[in-house]
Amino acid sequence: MQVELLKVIVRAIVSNPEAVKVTEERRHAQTVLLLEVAPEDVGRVIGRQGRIIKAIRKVLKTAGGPRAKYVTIDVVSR
Amino acid sequence: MSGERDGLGPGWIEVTGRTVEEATLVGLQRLGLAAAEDAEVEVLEEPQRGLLGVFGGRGARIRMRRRPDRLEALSRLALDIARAAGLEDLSVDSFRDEEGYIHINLKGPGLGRLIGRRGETLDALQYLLNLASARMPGRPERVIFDADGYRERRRQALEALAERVSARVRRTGREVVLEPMTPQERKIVHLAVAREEGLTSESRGQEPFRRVVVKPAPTSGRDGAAGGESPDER
Repeated sequence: MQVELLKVIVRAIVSNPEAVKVTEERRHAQTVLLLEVAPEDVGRVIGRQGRIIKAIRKVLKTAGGPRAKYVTIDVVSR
Repeated sequence: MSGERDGLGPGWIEVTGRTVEEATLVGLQRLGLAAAEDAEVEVLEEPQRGLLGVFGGRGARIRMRRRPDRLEALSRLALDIARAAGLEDLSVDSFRDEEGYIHINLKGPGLGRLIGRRGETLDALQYLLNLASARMPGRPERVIFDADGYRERRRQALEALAERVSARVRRTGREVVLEPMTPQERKIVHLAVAREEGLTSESRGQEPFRRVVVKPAPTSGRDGAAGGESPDER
């Protein structure tokens, strides 16, 4: 659920939606969402002082279902 | 050259031509559009050159549709986000107000999940919808996002609060410090207090714990403008 939610949100705010990929990973007891975007879009998902990624996290936490509390988002680009 | 076909989806037409550019021009005409920016174009098949550049070659095949306008696109995005959050059966009411703001209001069951504690999730979504709006072609437009009329209910609750607190300040002559609020919420309270005779308000503290203080206006005959910050913060 969170994977899809993260994809929908990020695709709407980047300049290169086709490059957006989200994969889910278990690390210890945590769910980590790996968010991959085009290099030029990294700033667009993080924002000044992390403002954008904070808003995304907030939405994933409350809207993402019961397990959402333990989600971490890692932003990567290739 | 086929028209709408199964699986094309609403509004899409399929067009062929010798080249992608040629097909696009034909498609624009069929859609009644003036410029390529008004359309979404997806290439289904690139043209392929045949033997000797002539025989057995294949033209380009593309699909096109009118680019959804911003109001439509943002409404769809809000619904897509809600659906990804597990909320089905929602409806959306969207319009532009006189000041040019785009309003997106979701209605239906389970929306508490998009509102969050004291509207924090609603504000986060509004911020993200504004970013999405800014990425769309054309002049940027601001978005006000609401779910189940939460913002209006909250405004009424804050105005009622301001009235109650004003009465108390007037009765006791002592200032009252309210709970921390977002800048938008504080503005509603400041404006409500400004309508009260003999009272003034200011904000104190640092975000996100900034609070409105309601207090008796200075009696020196100067109007509320004395001291403190302007209540017209945003």
